Amino acid sequence: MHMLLNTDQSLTQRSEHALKDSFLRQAVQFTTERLREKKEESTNALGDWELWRERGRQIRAHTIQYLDYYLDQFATNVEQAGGQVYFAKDGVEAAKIALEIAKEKRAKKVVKSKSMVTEEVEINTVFEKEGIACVETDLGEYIVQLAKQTPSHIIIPAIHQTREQIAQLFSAEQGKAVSTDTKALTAFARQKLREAFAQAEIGMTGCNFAIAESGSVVLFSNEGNIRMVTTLPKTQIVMMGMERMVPTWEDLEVMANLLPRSATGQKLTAYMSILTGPKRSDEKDGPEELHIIIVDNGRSKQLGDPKFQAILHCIRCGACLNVCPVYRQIGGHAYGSVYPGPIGAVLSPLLNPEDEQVQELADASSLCGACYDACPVQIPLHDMLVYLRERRVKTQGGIEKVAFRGYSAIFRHQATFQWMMKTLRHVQKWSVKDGSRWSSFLSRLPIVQGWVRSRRLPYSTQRSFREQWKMLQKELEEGVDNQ
Amino acid sequence: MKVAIFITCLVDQFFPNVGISMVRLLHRQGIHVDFPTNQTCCGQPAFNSGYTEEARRVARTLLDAFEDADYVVSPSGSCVGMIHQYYPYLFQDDPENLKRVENLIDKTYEFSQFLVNVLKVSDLDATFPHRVTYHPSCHGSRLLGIKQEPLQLLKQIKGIHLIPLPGQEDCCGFGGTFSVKMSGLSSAMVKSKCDHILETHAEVLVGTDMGCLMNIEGNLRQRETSIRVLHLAELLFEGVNAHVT
Amino acid sequence: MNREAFLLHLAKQLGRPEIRNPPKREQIGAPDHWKSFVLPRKSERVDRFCQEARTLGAEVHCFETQQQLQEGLQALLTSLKPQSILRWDHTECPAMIDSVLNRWKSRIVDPIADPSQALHADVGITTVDFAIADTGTLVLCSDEQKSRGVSLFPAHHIAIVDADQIRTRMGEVLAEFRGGKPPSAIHFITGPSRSSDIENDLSIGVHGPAVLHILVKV
Ligand code: SF4
Repeated sequence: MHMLLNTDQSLTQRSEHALKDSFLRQAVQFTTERLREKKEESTNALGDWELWRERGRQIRAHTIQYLDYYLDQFATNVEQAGGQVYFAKDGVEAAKIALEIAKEKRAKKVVKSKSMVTEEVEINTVFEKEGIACVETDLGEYIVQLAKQTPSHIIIPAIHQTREQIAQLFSAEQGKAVSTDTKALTAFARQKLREAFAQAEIGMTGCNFAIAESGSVVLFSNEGNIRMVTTLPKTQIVMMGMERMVPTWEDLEVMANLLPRSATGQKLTAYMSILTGPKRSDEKDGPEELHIIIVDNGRSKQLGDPKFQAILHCIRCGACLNVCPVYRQIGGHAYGSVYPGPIGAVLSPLLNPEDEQVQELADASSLCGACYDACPVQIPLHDMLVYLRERRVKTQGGIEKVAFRGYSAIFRHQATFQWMMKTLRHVQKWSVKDGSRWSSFLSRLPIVQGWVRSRRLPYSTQRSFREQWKMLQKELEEGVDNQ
Repeated sequence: MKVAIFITCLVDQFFPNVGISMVRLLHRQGIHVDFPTNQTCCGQPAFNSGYTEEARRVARTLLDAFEDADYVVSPSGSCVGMIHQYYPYLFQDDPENLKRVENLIDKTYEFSQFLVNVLKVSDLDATFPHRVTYHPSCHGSRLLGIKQEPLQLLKQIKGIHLIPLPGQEDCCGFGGTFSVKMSGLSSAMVKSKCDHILETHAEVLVGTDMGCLMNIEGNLRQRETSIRVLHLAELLFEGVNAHVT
Repeated sequence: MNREAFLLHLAKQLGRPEIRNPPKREQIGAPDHWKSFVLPRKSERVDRFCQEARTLGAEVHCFETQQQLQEGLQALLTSLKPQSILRWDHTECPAMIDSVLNRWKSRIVDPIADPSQALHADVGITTVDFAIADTGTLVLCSDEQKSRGVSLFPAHHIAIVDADQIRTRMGEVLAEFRGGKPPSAIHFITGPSRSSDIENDLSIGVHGPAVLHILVKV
């Protein structure tokens, strides 16, 4: 399973590329700012957000710690309600199961609601190879699909598209001009997608939460597309990461308080649907069949690992993206993985440990910890980023390793440290000048080049604190507090 | 009260004035200040890059240096945060040193934290009649929870005009090796930070961590602006002196 | 992968044998103070519900008597001039709605006979099973008489709420479904359908109804 979209480019290249895209940066900053403010407002209004966060963490931690039990209970209850459950160890198997169901139903068209796990298993590609059309029905996802792109935000997928670009896409789809007015664009999508809803044999959704005690699937949406997908087609397929469980209905209340607030700053999304089994035989609408595919795809590797198990607590709210100073500069595509932002920088390397290139995502952070602060279930993403780096350098050599070996050799003894620093000071004296110029020798060092792109070098003509200490101490002892 | 200062490598080598100001301020509070010279660095540069073993070796220097101190005070929330948050991890398999770590954590404070929470002083009788904006550094405010302390100290200063910094909680883009490894990103971040600082029309930017301030000042100097960049200890000391003279 | 193998693998990763009995839990559901939060008076619940729903852009009308509510519904339909109407077959107050709908009989669409017209209906009329004051939410359960599409397909959704159905928090409503077999679909509806996917510009009525009318009998 390759998750990288631009395998020919490194993280640095992709982010440099994004940094040059001023529309993208403006759009991302504007949107994330708005979401962040709205989240803050709505959590402040709650007055006891930290209590809810802590409770959210407790529930998620408990569920994941006993995940096998709750999945078992869930599966039993789904079957009792008349649904079918499948377990897939990876994306390939998950896609295969979905495809078999679709083939059995002789499906020509599948309508989908937004689901990150289906992006992970690249279900659209798999279906399309078999001549089955997949139509994304979330407005943002629909736009991204028409543009032949991938989502750049897990909540607002088309954050990077201008209304002009969207109008162009819609016009091409329609064969005549669609205006750039939001109302007109939305009306077009409503009209167009209604046709798809009516035609599709299969509706495919993700799953925000799955309730173990009743075998229910809980879905949140604002547009109502998820309700369409789960009302019109005869067959419903739910594809869910195996960690989506909550034990009880009571726990759902906590998640329903955390997720919309963290994602969009809403108290509750326009729709929250709790679906248990397919439609009952005497009901007039709803799917006749319900198939639930539970996907591992690298998740179980985190279980039992004290450093990383908590990544499975994630409720995919996107709050960490909105506060991340790195995401806010470059948007989602530069991450080159299905999951962008801090959650992506941690999750993608963890789900794909064999993929060397994905591992570098752990570098896409200044470790400021804003993600942890924002996370409704308190996942210590900033610590995980360090642990990922730790894991990575263990198997790597290179100049950085030599440098840090040197660092530790020098810094572990005060004497070598002092000697080294004195030497560096001399180097600085003849090379950096007043901080505005530096010698050609120094400026060839990549480390200096990186720094001086946007900064002058620090410069000091003073003796070090250490060298001044004796004097200072004497002064203080003698009471001549030299002012 | 015997206080040992943990100067941090950056302040030691590049910003000795910060250390000197801090020592003098503490001295004025009647504190006997000591500087154990066998200290070097908290190990954070290596740790944040994933070099745990290298970080551990350097971290031991601090365990040795501060063994006997009653209190350890440092002008950096980031380095103190390193000790508080990650030393237990570094020494988790080394019970003997882990005990020393716990002991060190219990007595180690960032400068503003120490003044406000331990010494219980926030009014140093300083005067500083300037427009000042404050950047709360990420590690100090998030890892250590230092949110109010620096502001408490600043608010007591006579004549000061404190201007809130827009987007203050956003990282300045320093992140140690991040600033050179991901220099494009880091540059974009420091530019945003400095845009916000300049928006405030402040004369002085004050902070509690020299890593961030060095980064921010680097960009401000490149833009050739005249805004002064001061560590909280420097500003307070200047303010205290202004009052005396 | 079969279920047993899948679950066994998880247990193995977690470093323990499979668990057969429900694991002990200390914290279940919302923080305690929230669990005990109830607005004691009906009028408070009604007020909060109306206020929250209005904030989200729902059109909320309150009526003192059944008679007035019927007149209100009548007036609303007259102003909307619907060409096609969907409604729940049987509701808790069928006679009440039906007597109003008598005048519009010819406009009522049978979703089974004419699914495509149902999909483009102008108005959908439902009652509700519960409402939530804290969030201004309607709770609709599906069953053989209460189909899912009525509150979803039309451009206007008219929901009729009795003040006694209004609870304070979501948790009270969720508790009603514990234990027994829940309905195949429970929809929590909070305001009209919305999206901000196009340049952050809020648009109302994407796939679901653009207008949500709530008629409350207090
Ligand atoms: S890591 Fe936390 S903040 Fe980020 S998406 Fe997951 S739950 Fe939300």
